[in-house]
Amino acid sequence: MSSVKTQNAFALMAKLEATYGTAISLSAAADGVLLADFADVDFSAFLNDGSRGRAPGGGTRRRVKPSGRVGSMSLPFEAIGGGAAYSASVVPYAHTLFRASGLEATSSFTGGTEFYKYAPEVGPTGLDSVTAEYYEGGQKYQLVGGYGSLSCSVDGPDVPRWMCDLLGIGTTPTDAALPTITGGYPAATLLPPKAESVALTLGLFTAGIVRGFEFDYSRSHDAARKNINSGGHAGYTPGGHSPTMKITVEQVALATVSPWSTSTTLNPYALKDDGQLIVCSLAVGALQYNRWKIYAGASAAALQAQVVDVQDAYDGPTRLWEITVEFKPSSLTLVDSFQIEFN
Amino acid sequence: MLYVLIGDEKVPVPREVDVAGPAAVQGFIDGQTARVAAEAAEAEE
Repeated sequence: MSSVKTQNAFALMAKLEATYGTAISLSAAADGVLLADFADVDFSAFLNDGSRGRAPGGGTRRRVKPSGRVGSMSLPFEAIGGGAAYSASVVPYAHTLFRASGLEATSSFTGGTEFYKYAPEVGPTGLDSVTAEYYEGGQKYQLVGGYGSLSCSVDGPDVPRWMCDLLGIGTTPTDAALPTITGGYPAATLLPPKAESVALTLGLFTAGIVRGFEFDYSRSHDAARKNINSGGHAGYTPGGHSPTMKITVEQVALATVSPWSTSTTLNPYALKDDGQLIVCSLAVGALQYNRWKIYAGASAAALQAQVVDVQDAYDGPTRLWEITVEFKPSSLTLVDSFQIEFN
Repeated sequence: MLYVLIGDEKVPVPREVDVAGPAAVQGFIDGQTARVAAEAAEAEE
């Protein structure tokens, strides 16, 4: 009797590709990416499943072999800072997945104010893709030409959970031993910042009791490049994005005049009615080199968020607002609708 | 794409340098820093 395959351990390695869709060699000594849980992996779909339609006598005809395996990985992770002054070698531990998700990185290493900032990138060339290998249950799942999108959420004082939804050209799963990751993981003592002292600025409003938030980059990245000259699958072409943030805050007194907010009052209904552009900034963590913030626009003070939906809600007897804002570019041509900053 | 700020200049890091790893990126930064410093010195003269 063969031994059982267990679902107890996992590992991910990923690296930016030099050439789109060409597998780059991965090393357990450098390319580990720490996940927060098992990935949701689906390698079952093909761009063409080989179906040939109906048989004259009823039933369906025998299939030809399928073409173009789709590799899909939903990768949960935490945004852990570098833990030391940022440099070429000290990067946020989300660096690879952020870049695979269509964010360009800008770094500065001026002593004492080092940072990495991530902002949307749309091409037309130079987009970052990854080769990823995910190990689970004694098997290896590899995809190349991986592009992703990002989301992040937290409900209550917990560690915000990020998700990278990666799509690429899948290969047939194989049996493989779990690699021993010795590079790419943070030290076990380096913990992610919790959402327990979140600093939210919405318009002029800064005194809110924040219950949770959901950020979604909403980057389109599922347009498959079908081909009939090599394997059926040439990868994907990322499209546009429509970043949003839904923030759940306890209700406060309504601001009665434009700009519809003060430090202690807020009127999200009027903000939506007016279509005003406002500041939207949310910071998690306070410790230098292990904190991050996400904000609309090219700076945390930019007026580049618009309230697009307000829902009244409640938690027991406590009244809440679920406020959805969209992040907007500062001009018709710039790609600067939001940034994620680690400093 | 990876960029690095050298002074006020946002310099793109070539992909082949980027994927070569941190040591290559640091070497690129050192080279760009020297270039910017040389250009500044030349402008002062």
